[in-house]
Amino acid sequence: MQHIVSSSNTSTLIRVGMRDLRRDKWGLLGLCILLSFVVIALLVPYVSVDDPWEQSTTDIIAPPSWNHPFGADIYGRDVFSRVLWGTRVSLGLGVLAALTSFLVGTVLGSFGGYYGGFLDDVITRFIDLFIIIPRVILLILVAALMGTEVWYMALFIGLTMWASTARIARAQVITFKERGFVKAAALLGAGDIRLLFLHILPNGIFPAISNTMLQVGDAILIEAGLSFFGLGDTNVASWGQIINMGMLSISSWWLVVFPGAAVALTVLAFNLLGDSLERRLKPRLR
Amino acid sequence: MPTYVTRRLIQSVPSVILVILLTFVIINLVPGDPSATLAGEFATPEYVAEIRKLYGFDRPVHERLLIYIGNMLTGNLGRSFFYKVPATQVVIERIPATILLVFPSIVLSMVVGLPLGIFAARKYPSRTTAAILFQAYVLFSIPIFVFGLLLMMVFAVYFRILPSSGMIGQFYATGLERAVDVLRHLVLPMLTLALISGVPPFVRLTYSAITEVSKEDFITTARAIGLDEDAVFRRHAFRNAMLPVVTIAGIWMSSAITGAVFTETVFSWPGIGSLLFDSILLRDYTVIMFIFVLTAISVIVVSLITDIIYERLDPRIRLR
Amino acid sequence: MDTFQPDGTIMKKRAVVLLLLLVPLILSCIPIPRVYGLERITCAKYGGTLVEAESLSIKSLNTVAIYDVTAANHMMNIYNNLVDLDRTFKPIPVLASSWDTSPDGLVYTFHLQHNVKWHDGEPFTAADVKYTFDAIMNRPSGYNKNLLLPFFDRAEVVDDYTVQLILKQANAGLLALLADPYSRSFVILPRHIYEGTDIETNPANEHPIGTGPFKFVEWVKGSYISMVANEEYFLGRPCADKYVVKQVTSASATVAALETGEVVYALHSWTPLSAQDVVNLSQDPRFTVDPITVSLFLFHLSFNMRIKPFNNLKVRQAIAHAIDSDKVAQMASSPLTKGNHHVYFTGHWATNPATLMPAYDPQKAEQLLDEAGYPRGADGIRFKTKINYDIKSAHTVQAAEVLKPMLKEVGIDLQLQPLEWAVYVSSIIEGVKKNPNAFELTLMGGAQGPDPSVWQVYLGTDGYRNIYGFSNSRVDELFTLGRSTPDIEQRKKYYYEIQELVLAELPRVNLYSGPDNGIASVDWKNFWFQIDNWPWQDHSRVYWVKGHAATEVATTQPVVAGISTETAIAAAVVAVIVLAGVGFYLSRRRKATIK
Repeated sequence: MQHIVSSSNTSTLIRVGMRDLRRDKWGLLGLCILLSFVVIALLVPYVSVDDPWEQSTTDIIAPPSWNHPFGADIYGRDVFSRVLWGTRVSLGLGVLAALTSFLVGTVLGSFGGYYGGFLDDVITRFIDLFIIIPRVILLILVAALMGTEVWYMALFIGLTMWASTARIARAQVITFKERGFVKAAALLGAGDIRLLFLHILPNGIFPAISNTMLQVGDAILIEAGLSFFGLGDTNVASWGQIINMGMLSISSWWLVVFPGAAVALTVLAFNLLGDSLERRLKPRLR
Repeated sequence: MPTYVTRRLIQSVPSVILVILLTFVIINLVPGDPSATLAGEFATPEYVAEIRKLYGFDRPVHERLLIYIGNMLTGNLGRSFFYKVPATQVVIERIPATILLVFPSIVLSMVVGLPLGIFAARKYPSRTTAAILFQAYVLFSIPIFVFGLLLMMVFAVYFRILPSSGMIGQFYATGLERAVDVLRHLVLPMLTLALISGVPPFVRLTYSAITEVSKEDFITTARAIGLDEDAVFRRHAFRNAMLPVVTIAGIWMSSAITGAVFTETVFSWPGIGSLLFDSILLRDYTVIMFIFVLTAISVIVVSLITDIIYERLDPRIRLR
Repeated sequence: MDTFQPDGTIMKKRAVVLLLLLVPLILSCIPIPRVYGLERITCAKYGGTLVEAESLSIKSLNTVAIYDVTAANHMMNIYNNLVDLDRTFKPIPVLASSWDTSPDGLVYTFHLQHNVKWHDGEPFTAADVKYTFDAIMNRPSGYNKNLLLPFFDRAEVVDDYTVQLILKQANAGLLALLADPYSRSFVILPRHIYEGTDIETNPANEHPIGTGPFKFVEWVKGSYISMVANEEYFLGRPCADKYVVKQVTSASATVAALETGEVVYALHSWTPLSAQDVVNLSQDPRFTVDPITVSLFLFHLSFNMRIKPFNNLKVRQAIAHAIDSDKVAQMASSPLTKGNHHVYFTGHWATNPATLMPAYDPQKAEQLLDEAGYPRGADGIRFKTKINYDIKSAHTVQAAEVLKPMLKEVGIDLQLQPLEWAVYVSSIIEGVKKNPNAFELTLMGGAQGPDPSVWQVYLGTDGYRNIYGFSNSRVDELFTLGRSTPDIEQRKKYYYEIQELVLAELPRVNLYSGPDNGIASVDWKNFWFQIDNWPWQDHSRVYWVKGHAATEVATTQPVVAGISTETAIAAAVVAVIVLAGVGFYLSRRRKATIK
């Protein structure tokens, strides 16, 4: 049965969602991994690790050792600290990209679904367009041509991902538009915007949220991919940048394995969480 | 049915046009053009200007766009600035290599992914299911180029049982020898593409599709009637579970091309993926445009085909 | 004459005869300055397939018609030039066995080798040379035409083996230009194949016919080019049986290919190997890594002398002292690469051995910066600045990264701003002419050879690559003088002086030059960079130690067909996998129904 809730029951829904989470081992695992990375990201400035930018001629491409648990890169910089600091960049980038995608997608999707007609047609066309074009290729084009500063990249990545969120939002809005409680609120004099944002969306938003979680992982993978092509931001220590350097030299496996594992774990966490949320919040058929 | 197909094709035309517009605008929005690269290392500014004029880079964007569309309608998609032959020729020469990589990968992904997904669904709930699903999640999370490089390091460099890159190593071989040579070079890139881009989605989707369907009423009925588990499974669940799988094959086209770009670059596989990357950096506009258009069309065609198969498999679906 | 003469005249006659006999003897002892020819190829062993790695994609095989630097790296094995360059970049003869210049420097007469054949058996003559130059000058537009246009008039056939190049203006750099090791745009094309057609679109471009040591076999675009030894090569059969250029796009794949033996040779810095890989390979007994003594590109840090603080000579000198170019070279290229300490290419004939870039001395740098009026602030920073460079070039990216802490040490905060090449050209190289603030610092490479006269585009007042804002009328004068006389010793004087003047004003700081190293399997010996007097990237004298001696000659492989085989393979593979899948599916079905 669909949970028919008004905005005040959102918190109940969250509590219900959280309770089931304990039984969902996958989601729990994802949450744990994610939390550890978040903790690392937040605490790193306060923990004394090597300066991630300090170059050293003696340690060029040093394999892992006590001094450098994850080894050193081609400038002699400590990979361990770069991976830890990279958590901030990669997570930040992923979240920013996913948020952009969420905002743009939800707004466009819901407007399209709500107003219908010509606006809807146009928006649907754009949605289809962005689903057809292979995202990463478009991004390679954009990054190669327009520059690679990391926060711009996050935005651009988000701007290519919004289509799936928009589709979901649109479908949800269309479904909820006809619901009793919405019509009731309309009769009571609620304007379009109020209806959309206070009544429809709080109920329909959850599939979009779980999709967005998956997109954080996607964005991180995309950033790593762009760095692989040399299109990343060299001024920041993101995981993709470290891997890029590792791809240059086949003998330095630690430059590829450790940040690669970091990426894989983070993306895994978001995938597990996203899927678990989706399972939790999908309406059951019996 | 033919009218449905034609109707869908006509509906796709605006999408293709939008793709062209978007790509064209992006490419041309940015300052700079390939005239400097085309003109060469010792080119004087006069010569660069000459080149610019020759290729029409000095005209405003909208004019160039109109010229391009006009040419396109007459079938002329321009010449590659760098190869000096028609862009279509440059791209089409490299397509077989990509097909050689992508299609066996898809097939391999299905051949591996579907049975694994089904197996996982049947064994639910158990450790086996968990293991299979977890492995699918993990594979999906690894960046594809990292995985490719790892495979290269392990099998080519360390164990020396497979070639490390390229499509051909026996340069002067013909016939069967050449075929075997190409197949040997195909193994690692195909495994990379299949295991990271193809297998995980198939496993997860098949699994969830079947577990969903298993909860349906008609399955319970069939069991209640006394039908044997296997028969129930084969005749009903399986068929219905194929539907979303078919859909995924359509969507996968897009991510397959992305995966191909990475895989081809890592393994120096001479397909359109590596061509695309190369052209972007050189700003070989005509080649870039043609590849984008081709990609868009193939995604549309594949999704059209999957929709048709979808309809065939499940007559309950009424398509608009 | 047999007439009877009195005794005295017989003696005179005998003296005359004796003298006549002695003359050739005497003459042969006098060292006549003659242009030496290339040696005939002798091989310790014959055989083997030389496989070279190439990371950039090859666009065309006709480097005269289509500007393609990547192809040029390999095409002189199929084609030949009139002349080429030795390891100090002095010209050496190839198709032209010798040449004379008229006193006014306007007419170059080339005496061509006899018995040179095209790969299809036709003889090579002066008519081919004339055809090539006519084709270049008659094109509506072209890279090589553009280079010749300012000073070239025409080519004239004197006889079958003598051809003249006639100039409108003297240009001492003509010979180096004709060699053009960078883009090989003046190789000689076969007249009997190209005459009457458009050199850009002639289908022979896909199956080149040249005079070079290797004959073309096959080109699979994006994958490889294969060649076989030319038995009739005019200098003798090359040592290797076959030569293949294999495209290997990523650095790690290149190293992997070297390790597995799929590739036996790579030119480092044209291929994107990492510094560490080069070191590993040099320490690996299976490989040899040799430095390339004189190169084509000179990477340097460029100042924008129009704006503060770089309009101050002391600031520029300070930065020069703050940079350890050896270390930059190590990090940017390979630990085996040294910095370029001279004002021009170290090892080049035109380089002034006395003028050296400021030595690495950070204390001196600090002192100069203080004197210049840029003291350290409270945060230790004197001033901030930014540096632009080509994002795609691994060199410049790595060099910039290394410069950052070097400048930080003397109190300069360096922001890194890579740009895509086309943007770089438009906003900086062209942009600085309209906007003097277009950049502050940049890292430029650029070919500044092989002839020093081309350096004028960087340091001449109206040179189009003179982004520094450097202008010195004496330097301009010297460049003009340098072009006017073909006498190398005289030219040296002019260029030496230019370097002194450039050093005094320091518009740029040289870092290192490239390409840097030749990397080869230890089983292959005698590469061009290991020989003083051999054309750049010409592989005819490389031999395989496991080959066979001269007496037995291996047979060459038959020519192979085109790529339609791949499509057939594609179909076969897909069919096999599909059949497997179907079979699998059917077998499972059958299992169910049996139950």
